Amino acid sequence: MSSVDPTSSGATSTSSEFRIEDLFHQKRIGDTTTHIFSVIYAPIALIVLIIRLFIGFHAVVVACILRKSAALRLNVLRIMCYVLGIVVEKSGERDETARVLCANHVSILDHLAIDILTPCLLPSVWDIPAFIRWCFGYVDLGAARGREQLVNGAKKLIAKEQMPLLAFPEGVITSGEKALLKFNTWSFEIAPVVQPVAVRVWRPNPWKVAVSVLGATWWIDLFYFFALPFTVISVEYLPIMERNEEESLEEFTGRVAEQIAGNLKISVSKFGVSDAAEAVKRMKTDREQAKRMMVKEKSTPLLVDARQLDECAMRIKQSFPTFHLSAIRKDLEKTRSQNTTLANLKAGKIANSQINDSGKITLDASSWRGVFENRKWQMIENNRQKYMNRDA
Amino acid sequence: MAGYALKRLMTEYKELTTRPPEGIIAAPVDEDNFFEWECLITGPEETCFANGVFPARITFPQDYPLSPPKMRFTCGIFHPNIYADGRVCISILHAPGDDPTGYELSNERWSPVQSIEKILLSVVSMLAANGQ
Repeated sequence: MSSVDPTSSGATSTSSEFRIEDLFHQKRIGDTTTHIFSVIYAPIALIVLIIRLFIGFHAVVVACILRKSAALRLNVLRIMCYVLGIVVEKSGERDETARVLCANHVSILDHLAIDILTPCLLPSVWDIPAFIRWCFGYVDLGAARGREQLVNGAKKLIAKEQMPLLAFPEGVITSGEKALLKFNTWSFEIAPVVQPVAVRVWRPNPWKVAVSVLGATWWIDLFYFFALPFTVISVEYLPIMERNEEESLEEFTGRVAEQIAGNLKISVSKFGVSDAAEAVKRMKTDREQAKRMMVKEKSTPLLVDARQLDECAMRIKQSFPTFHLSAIRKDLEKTRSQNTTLANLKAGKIANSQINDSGKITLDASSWRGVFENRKWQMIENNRQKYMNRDA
Repeated sequence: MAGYALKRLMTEYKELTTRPPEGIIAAPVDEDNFFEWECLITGPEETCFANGVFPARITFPQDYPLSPPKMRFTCGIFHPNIYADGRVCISILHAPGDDPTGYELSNERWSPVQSIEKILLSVVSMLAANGQ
């Protein structure tokens, strides 16, 4: 345990093969069997959900009326959680000398699970409504006002209160299956002794639905908790850890992270909370783009009449002003698809040249239509050019 | 009757193709139906319509050129003489007999000596007159 550097650097090298997205569940339902089963289960889920919503409301009321550390509250809440399908398992022993609990974050109900086993203070650093925060007895340590404020507030609080402080130094919910996010150091600054807690969550076999996915909102997670028969959250208390004299805060944080990761048989990644936030943003933009592409794909076969082709040509012209409108339009006539023409443009398959209006007009009336088309695009092109240069 | 109209439209088509007036082009929508034309008008300079290319449809009656054609812009265009649906209200398109407004001079109205080119030129001046 004293050799810190080799372990932490080793962890960084092993985790380098992960992408940040790998640390999270991407989809709620991974395989097809679960998918089929969940469709069959859906009507039952709805009934279970409605019943549980009412019971859940009562659980919140109970949690409000009975204040912390009352033995009655613990038992009532535990039974209510069973009814709500939240089964909390405990292993390992809680050591009272440690005033800070550090756990990995796998679901939105981690706090609740640990709180049922050991009543503890929950600093509100999560994005939850103030009412729910009050109901579950979270304390506002002023995380929004900066780290200094948070650490000082936490120190004062544990000096005043009997209960330990529970912290999730990961900051966001991960799958807990690949690797841990890099721990935030604030919770290790509060007290020299911390008790690491390893939290696992699983669901019985046909209901293999991920507890939380990347970028999920808390109420959707809660919906799955209530709709599925039950979810097991197992909480394992690990032996307490003490910060050595010569150890820096980062080293100690890394050591605790390694301890939890080792227990979960995963590694610690080099990614932090900000990387996770980036990943969420990236995923959202990707999805939007994919959706837009889908809409486009659907609308492509509609390019049949001349008017739509004209409009499409104008749209393409806006992105590729160097190409002549009539060239774009001619290609559209052939491809009948905006995307194919765009691909042709990019590949350079369309000649970027002016059309040769020879000026000689034959007496053959059938060629006049072509003359009209050419003149039309020439006219639009010229006026467009003039319009673009009007202020220059 | 229709034969004469067709002959007349053919002549005008040839005229417009071989000697196109500045800023105006017109042609039948397809070779089989000469009674429906599409045309493009360039907005007159120095007006708010400048550098705009405005598409319109002209529909000819079977007894053209005795009766005037109807003209309709297929794009959105804001002008006091153009209805919201694109129909153009101009004296050259009104037959001498019916006078919907009561103030149009008979020499401004439709007569068989007018042509598509004249209609389109009148529309351009109409745009120029109210578009400053």
